[in-house]
Amino acid sequence: MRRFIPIFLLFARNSLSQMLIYRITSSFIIIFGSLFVAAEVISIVIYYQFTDSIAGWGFYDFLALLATFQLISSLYQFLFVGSHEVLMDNIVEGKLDYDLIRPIDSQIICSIKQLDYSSLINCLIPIVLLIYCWPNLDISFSLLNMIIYLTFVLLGVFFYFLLNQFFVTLAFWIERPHKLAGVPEYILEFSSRPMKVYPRVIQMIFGIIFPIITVVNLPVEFLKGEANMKVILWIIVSLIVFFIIVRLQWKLGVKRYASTN
Amino acid sequence: MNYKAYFLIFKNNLYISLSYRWNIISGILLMILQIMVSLFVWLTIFDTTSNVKNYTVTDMISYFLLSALVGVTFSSSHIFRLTRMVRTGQLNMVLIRPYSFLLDSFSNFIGSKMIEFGTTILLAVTLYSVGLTTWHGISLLELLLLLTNFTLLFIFGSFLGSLSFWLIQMWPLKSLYNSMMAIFGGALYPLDLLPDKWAQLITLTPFPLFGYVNIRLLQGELHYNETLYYLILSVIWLIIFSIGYKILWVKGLKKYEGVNA
Repeated sequence: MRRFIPIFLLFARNSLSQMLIYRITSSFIIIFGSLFVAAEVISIVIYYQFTDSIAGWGFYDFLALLATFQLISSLYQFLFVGSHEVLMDNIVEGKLDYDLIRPIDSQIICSIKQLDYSSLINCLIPIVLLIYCWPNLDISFSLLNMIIYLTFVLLGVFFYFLLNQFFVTLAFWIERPHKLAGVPEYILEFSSRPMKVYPRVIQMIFGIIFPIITVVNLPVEFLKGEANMKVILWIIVSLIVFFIIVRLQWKLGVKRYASTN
Repeated sequence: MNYKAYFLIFKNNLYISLSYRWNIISGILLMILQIMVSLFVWLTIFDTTSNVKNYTVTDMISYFLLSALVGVTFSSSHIFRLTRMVRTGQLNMVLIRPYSFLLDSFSNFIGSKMIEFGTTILLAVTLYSVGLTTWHGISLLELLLLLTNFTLLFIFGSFLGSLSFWLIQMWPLKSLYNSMMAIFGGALYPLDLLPDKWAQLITLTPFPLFGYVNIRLLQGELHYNETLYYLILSVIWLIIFSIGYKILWVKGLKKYEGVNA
């Protein structure tokens, strides 16, 4: 673990240099990310023109959920999206050789090569939204509550990373997997709404069996004072199982890998 | 000009689309999934109110189901074709050929969309036959509007794609298109739910022409004058983006270095 830190810092410095060189791309990421949040906020304002409560969630609860969803998405994009984009192409085109022969875990190195600082800047918007909503929620704004909230958010980021890693690694088996790369984003969108708006079948699949909605709803459930210990334990167990599956998948995928060097 | 080459390109892409059927099916499923997220929220709102402006629950279900189908045909995947070619240097081979890259792209676009379009028609017929939405027929003017909007989508995508000469990473543009469709295209909510002045301003942008306008047309809610108005608007945007594409293409080629070829 200790040797990952200087390597990670090296990648972080390279990524920062790249961001500063390609300022236009970085600016676009910030602007477009903000536009998407604006679209979601407008839609929530429209929803609450016609009702006071959606599945027991008030306006500020819904806004906090949007902020949490955006925070998880932005943190994932900051840490992993650049690497995952390149990884799928490298697997399909047989260009993974240099990553596989290095004396370091190949899955980790392929996942942390490129940081996207523009997405880190995009984290400011959900943070501002959260600060706006928090006074209207049930949990008081204290350091301990913030740490607990952030811990739940980081669990969400890790879950989303595993989900993306799973679909990217399918490139070892599927010839044209680029459409599949978009699947995690669509699945995550389900979690941007309260679980109870969905029919029972969807609640069962994405709330219990594959608890992506539960993972993203959990930080806001905590802020509403409705976090459940059983749910937290279930999420931790799911994360461990999913991690093992993704790890095994990578090892099997590498055995199938064919270089074009 | 010999159009046989373009017909061959169209045919090739049609066969490629047929070979990778899973890509099309997954694209359609994902689009439907995405729309379902918003639809379930609206269905929950309709639990507490019977009428949202001029929409009943049946109208809203019809709107979002048609939105999913329109979204499949009016998707933005063609924006990234030039990106891949610029990044890998494959554009070099295309530039030395004695034909128009724009027409090559258009043939590619039509070929790849044919199967998606056919599948959309089948799904639409299924929806009509089970009564989830009703067929109001389509006039020649309305058909012309749909075809113009479809061509506008291609030109708009080509215009955005030509930014590849300057942007190192194009994936933020997918966010641009998605966020613009969310705010201005009617993907998250029907645009007539916005205040009137906002709705009027938004309908001047090209994005309603990729979503909201087509959906309302298929619902039989566009009057003759409105159809004519949107057709003229679509042609104006077609001219603007065609000129914009030409300017960016010429400037971009001067910047292009053909690295990695």
